[in-house]
Amino acid sequence: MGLYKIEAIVLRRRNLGEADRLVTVLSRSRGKLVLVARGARRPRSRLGGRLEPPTRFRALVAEGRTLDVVSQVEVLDAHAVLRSDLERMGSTAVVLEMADRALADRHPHPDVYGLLRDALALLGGGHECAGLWFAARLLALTGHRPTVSRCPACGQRVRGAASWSNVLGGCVHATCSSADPRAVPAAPGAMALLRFLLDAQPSAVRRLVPASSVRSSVAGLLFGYAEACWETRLRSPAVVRALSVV
Amino acid sequence: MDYPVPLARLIDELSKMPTVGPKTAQRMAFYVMRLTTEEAQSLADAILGVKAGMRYCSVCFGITDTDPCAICSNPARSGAVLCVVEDPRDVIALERTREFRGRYHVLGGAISPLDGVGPDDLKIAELLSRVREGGVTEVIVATNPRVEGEATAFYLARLLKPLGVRVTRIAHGLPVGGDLEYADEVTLARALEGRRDL
Repeated sequence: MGLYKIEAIVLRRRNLGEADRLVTVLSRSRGKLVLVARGARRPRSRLGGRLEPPTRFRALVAEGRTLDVVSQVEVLDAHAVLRSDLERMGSTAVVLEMADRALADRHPHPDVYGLLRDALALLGGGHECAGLWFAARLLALTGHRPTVSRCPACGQRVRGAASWSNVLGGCVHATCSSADPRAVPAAPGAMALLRFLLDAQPSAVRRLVPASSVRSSVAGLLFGYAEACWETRLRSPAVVRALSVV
Repeated sequence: MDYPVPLARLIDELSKMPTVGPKTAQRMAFYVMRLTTEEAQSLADAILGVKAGMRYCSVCFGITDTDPCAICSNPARSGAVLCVVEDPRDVIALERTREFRGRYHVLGGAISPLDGVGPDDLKIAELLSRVREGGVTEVIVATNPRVEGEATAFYLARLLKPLGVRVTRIAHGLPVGGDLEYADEVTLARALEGRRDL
């Protein structure tokens, strides 16, 4: 049983036994890992505060028989600003959940690691579209890029009024939407934003200030599409919506 | 060879308990087998007694054997200060300090988007009702200093401040007897933020 070093971001953690924690992290070199943090729940633990989501850290990990054990954690970025208000906490939770659901354990994906690091930096800067950009880019990087320019049903370019189909994989002509009874209307503004987000660089996302109605429309499409692709149900968007009602 | 049915049933029931695996359950079952009839009866009575006698306080939602609980019905405790905690065990921990003379409100968890736990899953509406009834001047949010606890604290502050009560958060910092050298960066930063004059 050996030791290895990782640079990683904490996605989530849950309690294990009396005082331990199971921490799910996305590492740059080894992909998503579930690690044991021994004694992390004890008040004097050196690990507890360092392994809160979405901390970026460097650590030494010991291989175990079933689960690897984390030790000697050095914080690279605690992302304290992301814990400073409810809105940022909510957006961060959605981003972390999507990263967790999209990836299988122990499959290295340095691009997704870099994407998550950039998205957290954008969220910290208060950029409203950071979460949507992350969702769109994550889908693209994991092989689920939605079609936004050509109708997957007829192959023709989509202009003007369109529908969105999770089954067909994106934007379809309103006239072709009969192929999927669950297709929903998609506003032209939402399609334009989605097209932009799928290939945007972080510097471009900083300048983006779309109307809140367009933003929420794109969020609905992206989260629904992600759930259909990953065959799972995202929990955090509904909770975040409930929190923002206040 | 399989265990005789009564022993196998006991092992099966014991292994359903948290942190009890099959081996531990076997050891416990053999311990129970060695007990005298009176001792075994006492253990069984204690388990049934908890089920029959324990309930949640209808006011604060802490665990109690009388409703309302001893703290809520104690006239010596101040109803002007409410301490909000996540779990009934947090009430016990705070009571051990013998420092707090107000009353409690147990939320039954914390807001956790990643686990799908939202405000409607907690006793937040009941907290607002207690505050709206009047007499409360300060609400101390003593949720755990984790992301979920912080999110809950922010949410409660947003709901409670318009009701005209003072909303405070318990301090975060170094444990008594701890070493600065071994403290993590976030805790140290919080400790610096929360410094006070000597």
